[in-house]
Amino acid sequence: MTAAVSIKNLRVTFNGAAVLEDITCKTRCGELTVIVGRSGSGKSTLLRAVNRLNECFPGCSTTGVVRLSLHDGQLAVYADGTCPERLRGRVGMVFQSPNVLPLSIERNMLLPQRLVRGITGRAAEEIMRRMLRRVGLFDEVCDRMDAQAATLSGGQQQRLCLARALALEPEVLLLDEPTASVDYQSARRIEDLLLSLKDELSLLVVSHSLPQTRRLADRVLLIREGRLTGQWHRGQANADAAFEKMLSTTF
Amino acid sequence: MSAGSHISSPIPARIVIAVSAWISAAVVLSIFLFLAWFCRPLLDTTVLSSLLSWDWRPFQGDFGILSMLTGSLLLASSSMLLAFPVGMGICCFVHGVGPPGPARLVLWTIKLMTSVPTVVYGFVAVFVLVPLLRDVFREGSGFSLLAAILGLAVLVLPTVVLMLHSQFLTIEPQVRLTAAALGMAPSQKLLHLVIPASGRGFLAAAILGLGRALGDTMIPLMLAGNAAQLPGSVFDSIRTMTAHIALVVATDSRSLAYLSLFACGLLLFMTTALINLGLRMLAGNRENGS
Repeated sequence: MTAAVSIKNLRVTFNGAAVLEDITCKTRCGELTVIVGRSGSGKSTLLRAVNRLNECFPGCSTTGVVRLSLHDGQLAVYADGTCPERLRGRVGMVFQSPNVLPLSIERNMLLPQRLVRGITGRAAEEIMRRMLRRVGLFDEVCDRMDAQAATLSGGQQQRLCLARALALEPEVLLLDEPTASVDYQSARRIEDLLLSLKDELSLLVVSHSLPQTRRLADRVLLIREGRLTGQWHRGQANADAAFEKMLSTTF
Repeated sequence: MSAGSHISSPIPARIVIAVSAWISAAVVLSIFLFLAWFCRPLLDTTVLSSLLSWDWRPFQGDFGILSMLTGSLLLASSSMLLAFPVGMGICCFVHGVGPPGPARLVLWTIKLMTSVPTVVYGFVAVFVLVPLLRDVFREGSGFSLLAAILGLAVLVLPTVVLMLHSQFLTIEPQVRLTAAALGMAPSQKLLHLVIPASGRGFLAAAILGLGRALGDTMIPLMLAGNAAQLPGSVFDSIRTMTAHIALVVATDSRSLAYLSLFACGLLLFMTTALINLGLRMLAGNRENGS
């Protein structure tokens, strides 16, 4: 099985202070990888290093190699010729807090498709409906597509963000604590959706929840003070015991 | 200072602010009443018809200020038409379209421009812009509507840029990461997310800039040539109401010509008041909307 995301000697600093040091790891296609660690350990920075979103923050400097396995071959994320916008069009991201655009529900779904993928008209509407159904939101919003997305509940907004990211048909999806700010029911729906997605695209999820990590993870990366201090894989020997041992100090 | 004195300080502060507000309101009202009072002698049918005419020939008894009113409106609106798109472009450059280093430099320069006295712009324009226009277009002396439009556009540019900048600052951070994570380019983010959500900021920048352009004296006085006439082209000389007041007030003090200045003053005052009222209505609508 090919590596979906391959990271080698990754170092990320902000204004000279190292947030990530010497990270080397691989995730596999068809797996759901969960990144765990205490607050401030660098989990989100690691996630944002995959789609170069750290560069949107002032004073960021990144060294090392991040490679993605995409349908049309390997992509070196930090190569000179790699356009960050095109990269992010293929590597979707969902944030901890729902980050709907200040537009209607429909425009939230259609505008990124038009701008990023050049898909408009009926084709874009069809994708929109398909993805809203996929996240279980279509029946809840189909009669008010013109309403501002901000009028939806927190859980609905997060599912809208997920649908919006999926509408761009990414090959890698990054999720930064996607269930942290939603209710229990919404969290379970999102988890079920992630499990159903892992056969189609590579998933990297930051999580603060031990039960969630246990339910979702095929692979776990443990980050402590900016360094990768442990890895776990569902297929390894004595997986359950190793899982408990590794995460007992984290949660 | 004891903690108690900190706790008791808000009440005197409120009183000081209230007194200041009432004094400011009283000053503005008294200016209006002062202008209206001095305009009383102009409320005669003959005088009023002379005043509301196109000819300014004080020695023949024509005191028409309509050409000055037209000059003011023409100059202010033209300079805004030039300054507004340029200001919008600069603001987009500052907010992600341009590289961070040059963007910071441009913003710093724009902020610096607000502290440059108007007379400096006028002085530089007289010795640089006016001869340039004269040599390039070979139309008249160079002291023209065009020179004043260019000079005034530079003057109001910081007002437009900083108003838009403050509006962008409230919206852009809300969508920056989302737009970037979706793969949108900075220009797409500005064009499709920030600018559409900045409608009221655009209107406020336009109104404030227009108010500044209408009220400026030094630029039209130094660059527009000050001929009280309707311009046939941008190379013709014009006179604005503000320049008219500055010119006549220094040379006359008793005649009807002098009194006509109060009509100009009242017109300027009312224009500015209308602009302020427009802004307040905008702010009110915004609060209700939110």
